[in-house]
Amino acid sequence: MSNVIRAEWFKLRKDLSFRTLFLCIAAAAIVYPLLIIMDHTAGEPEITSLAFMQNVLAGNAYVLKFSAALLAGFFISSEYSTGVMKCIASSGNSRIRLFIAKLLVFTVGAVMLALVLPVVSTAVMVIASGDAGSLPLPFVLRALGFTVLYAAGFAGIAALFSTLLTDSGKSIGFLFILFLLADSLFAGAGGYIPFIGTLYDYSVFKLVNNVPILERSSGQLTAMTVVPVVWFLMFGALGILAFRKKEIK
Amino acid sequence: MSEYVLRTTDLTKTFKNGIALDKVNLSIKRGSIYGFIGQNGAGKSTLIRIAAGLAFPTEGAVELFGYSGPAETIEARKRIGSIIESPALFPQMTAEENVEANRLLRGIPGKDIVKRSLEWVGLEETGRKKAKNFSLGMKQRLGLAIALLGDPEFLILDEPTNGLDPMGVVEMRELLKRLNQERRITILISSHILSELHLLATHYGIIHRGVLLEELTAKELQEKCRQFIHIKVNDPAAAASVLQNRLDTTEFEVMPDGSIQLYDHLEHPGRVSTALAASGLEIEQFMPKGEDLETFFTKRIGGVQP
Repeated sequence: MSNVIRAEWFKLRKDLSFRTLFLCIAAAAIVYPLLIIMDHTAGEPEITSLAFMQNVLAGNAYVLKFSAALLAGFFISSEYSTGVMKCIASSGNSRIRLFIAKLLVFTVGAVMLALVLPVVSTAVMVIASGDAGSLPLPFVLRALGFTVLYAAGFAGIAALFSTLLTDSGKSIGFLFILFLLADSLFAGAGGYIPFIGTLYDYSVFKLVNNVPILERSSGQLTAMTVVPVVWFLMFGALGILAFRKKEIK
Repeated sequence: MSEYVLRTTDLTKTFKNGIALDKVNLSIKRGSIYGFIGQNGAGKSTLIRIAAGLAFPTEGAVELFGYSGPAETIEARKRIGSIIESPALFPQMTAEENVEANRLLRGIPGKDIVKRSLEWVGLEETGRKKAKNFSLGMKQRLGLAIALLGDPEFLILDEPTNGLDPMGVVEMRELLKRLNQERRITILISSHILSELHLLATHYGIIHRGVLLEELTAKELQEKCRQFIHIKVNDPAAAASVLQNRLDTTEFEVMPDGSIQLYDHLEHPGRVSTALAASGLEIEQFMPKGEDLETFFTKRIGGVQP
């Protein structure tokens, strides 16, 4: 197993789309807080580091979803279109092992991309504004922890569909539409079918929006923690089933 | 140790629109170079993909190195190197990175094997050039370097000479011969260039419309490819009459282009030419010939297919 993970990790490090996404998000993460500070006019109350991080986390929900979709298209689906998957599948490793290694490394990549914006931009803001006191450490750690979990949740979904669709363009397009419309679809259908409403309440699509909230009850915290883990495991298991039966062309 | 590296039993594969393999019983002996011949869509790639674990049979079984259980065949694939349809490369990586990714995937120890495998195929000087910028021939050679990683016992090559220039084809043939003779690597090779296969293969399998028509050794093929004297004269009808009446044989065919293929008197061609000349016929061409693999294959599948 470790050799397959090492191979996937090697490929992720060399993946041009991963590097480009990482650099683009990092560049935006550096520029954004500086623009906020430069735009500040005298007399207006200054934005605190806490409020800034909450804003960034709210926006990061989109970064997290779409970077997972893009990475899935280029890191997973493109291996089918370039034919590399033939080499991987015939390498003498079981399909389960291959998919788990791919999922784990892809998830690490998606998590790294999801963390860049909140970590870098908040750090730049704290350094530039000198306001570190407004940021409670437990909130920072919890927010980053949830970012990791929700990035993993979305990575599980992206890994399944990119394996099923096997074409980077189709995968990215489908995942963009799914991630954009999931809230409306779930909320709309939930109005007619209560089960779907409940499913939506406990889905990564809805709960990812709660990451920036400062105060939460222990019940909400538990739900926020358990839901992305369950979704990751559920979609990971579906991905294994799909990949085991998949004929590679 | 099994005598066969690959054996299939009643291997059948059906798709929605038809049958790709129909109860195929194929066996590839250790140490052989097995030329797998068939038209496009005959089922070659389907069988190769099943052997490599990329597709699953509808019925029947595959045995690799004597193992047929699901877990055992997966493990046995570690002893196989393959290029299926086209070399599988990461376009954004260099040759060295491509080989390294595959070395890690197969868990082969020792990074020095990367450089050695690139040297085998003459790609050690490609530096930072990415695989997407390689010529088709270079891609084929890189694919072969990857397939040879970890010293496989069995090499599966689907159209390995695609895109190679004439020198590249010769180099590839020599390399495969060397791998077979020096390292005792068994090779399954499917190619449309039958003349090329003829120079390489020790065994043949002919597949047509999903049915394995015949398996034979190179020696058996040699025996089956009929030898004849190719004759072209100014009057084929008169020549046919001479052959029947003066040489007392009906073992000949008059071809559509007017040439004659004489399967008799092979040991005494002089008698034939003398008889024809004595009858006043003008001999334009007269030479001993034999059916080649292409002719044999075409006849075996029942002529040129539409």
